[in-house]
Amino acid sequence: MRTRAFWFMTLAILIIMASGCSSRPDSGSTGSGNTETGSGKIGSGKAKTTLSMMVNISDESLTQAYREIVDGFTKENPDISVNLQFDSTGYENTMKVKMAANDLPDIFDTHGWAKLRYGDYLADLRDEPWASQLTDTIRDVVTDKDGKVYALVLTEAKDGLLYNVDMLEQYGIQVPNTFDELIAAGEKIKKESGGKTNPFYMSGIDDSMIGQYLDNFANPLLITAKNNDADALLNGNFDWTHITPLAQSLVDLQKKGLINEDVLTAKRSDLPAAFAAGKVTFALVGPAFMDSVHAIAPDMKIGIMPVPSMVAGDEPTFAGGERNTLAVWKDTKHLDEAKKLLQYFAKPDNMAKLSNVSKNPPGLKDIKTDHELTPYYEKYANIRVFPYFDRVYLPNGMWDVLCKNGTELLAGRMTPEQFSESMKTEVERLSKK
Amino acid sequence: MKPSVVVTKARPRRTTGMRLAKSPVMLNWMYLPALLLFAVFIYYPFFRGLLISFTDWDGYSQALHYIGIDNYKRMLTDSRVHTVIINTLIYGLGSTLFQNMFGLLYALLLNKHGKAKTFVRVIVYIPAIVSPIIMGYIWYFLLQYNGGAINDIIMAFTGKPVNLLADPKVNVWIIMIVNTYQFLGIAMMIFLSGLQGISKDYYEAAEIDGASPLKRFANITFPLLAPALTTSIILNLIGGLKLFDVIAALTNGGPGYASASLSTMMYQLYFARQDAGLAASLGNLMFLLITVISLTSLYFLRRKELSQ
Repeated sequence: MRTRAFWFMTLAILIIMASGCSSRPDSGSTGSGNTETGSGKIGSGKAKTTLSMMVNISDESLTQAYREIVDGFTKENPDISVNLQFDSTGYENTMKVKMAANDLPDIFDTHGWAKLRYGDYLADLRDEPWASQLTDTIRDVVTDKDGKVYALVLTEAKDGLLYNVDMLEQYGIQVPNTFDELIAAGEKIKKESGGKTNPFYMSGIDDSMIGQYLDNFANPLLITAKNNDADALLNGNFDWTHITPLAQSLVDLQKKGLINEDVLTAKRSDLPAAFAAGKVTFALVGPAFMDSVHAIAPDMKIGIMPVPSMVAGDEPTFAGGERNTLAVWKDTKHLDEAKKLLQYFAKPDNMAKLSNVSKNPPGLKDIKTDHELTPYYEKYANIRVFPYFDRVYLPNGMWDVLCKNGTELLAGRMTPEQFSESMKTEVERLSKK
Repeated sequence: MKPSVVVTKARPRRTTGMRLAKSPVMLNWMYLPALLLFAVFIYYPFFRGLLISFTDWDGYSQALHYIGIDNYKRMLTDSRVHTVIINTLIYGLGSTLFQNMFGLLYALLLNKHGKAKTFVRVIVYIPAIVSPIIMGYIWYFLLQYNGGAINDIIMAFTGKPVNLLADPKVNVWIIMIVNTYQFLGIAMMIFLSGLQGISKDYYEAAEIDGASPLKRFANITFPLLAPALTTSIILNLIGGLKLFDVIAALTNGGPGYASASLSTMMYQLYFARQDAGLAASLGNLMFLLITVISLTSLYFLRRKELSQ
């Protein structure tokens, strides 16, 4: 009996040790890594310096592109290896914990928050050779008033609405320029598809999709028109009832039956399948989702359109900001090596590769790209790009308020007027900090 | 006369190591590592959490700015927090009630001899070894609006699916039922071990005296199961009041915070809303709630045990 117990315990300990060892991120040598996430150490076993690098992506083709670039870098610089970690679902929380502990990776992705959230932890990159090449739309997003450059923007966001090109052609609908035209297009599609297609898809469980709607349409309502509220928002004397129509527009979309019926319990992960099946026309997500759609419907044509205007006389616009970035921790012990790696990423071939795989515009000038959305970005090259509303006009911490309040609106647990009141209260609370 | 042989046991030589091991001073040193681990991983975070609850910390910056008891004031006046406290009590108390009720029922049924006894025990216990987040997703797929098996059955009768997880009047109870279903196997096992410790002599004597099965249960089984009941109730209470994973998978606490528990709201406030001060206040409230409910239950259950 004792012998059996002994062997059982020994086996259990061995299993635990084996599983513990296999989960160590830094266990491998050259080219080792986690096959599921693509994370792992890249470089020669003889490298004197190991850079830690964390990136906020999980998309397989994009992680592969990063690995190839890092692999090229370590071959060119055999004395440097890179411990490359990919994550998307837990990235933001992990980084917050790392910031609290003041123990960050040497290089990391700032995913839209280079200045506002990570600013105090980042090295100044203004003297880097690529800094002067940042595009006109992104330069100010990652540069402060003193000229400090916070991050290398590999690809920038130019968000509008991704749409099913074939479906608009099928129903004879022109790309909508105004919000009213967008609603009319949605109603036509809903009616003529016999209710099979709900033009918009949102998720209450992954409520950032609802926040994205409110954030993307806040610019056309409050910022982009000639008479706008930009100064009032920045000066703190904004009349918050002006945001009520934005909340009302979301409620109207639902009342008209233009959003998926299960909006409160649907998951973001179900969007590609619904889109590929022709059950959705417009998607308020980044281009990364296109690969998931093409995995199901390879021939489906997907386009991007700017966000329609909401005020009479205004023009459509894009919402812009950082998408894939790399920044350097100010307290890194390997500042020179980290800058060297960023310079390698900034090479035109590498920038083009990342842009083509992610289908986002590159963050540096004069990079030639060729992907599915390139013709659309060229077509809309003159459309104005405004930074994400929340990054400029709302204090840090308001994103979740947008998401949660939007869900409460759709659940009928909050009126548009209460939405505005809640926004005012939360902005005041967060602005006091 | 045979010569007598006296066999004397040789006294083992006491080594320095053995002497040290038996010394009270040395024994006191032995628990220091455990104490150190407790201090680092339990006491320090607890007191740090208490400190953070008096600040407006965003959860990642280096500076703490003290704001007195503002977070506690907000917590007490925020209607969403009230909803979340009620939800937490439903998850904690409701799960405890049903897990023990059904756990006891299963234990009584499966304590008898029967061919399928072991098989049924395993079936009832299996959900407990599944990760709660996986269990949440399994039930999400069963309950989801489009293509969920339960909704397909509803559609067969009504012709229309029902978004069960979207209605706060329903989804809170669904979460409680899923948690009950998952962990009633543990309650069953605790009761089974308790039942197997009761001597058959009591039942034989009661049968001779003509006691009915109900009377035997009320006067023998239930009182002698009191220690098992105490263990089961306390474990279920703590588990239910801390419920997180199933909620995250089924509703993510939504719509808004309508089905959130103190744990999920605390997580969302800390990481998403960057309101670490309020999150810490909620954490302290949860600690207080669990401590008061558990200790009160323990006090009454122990009294009940002693009076048997």
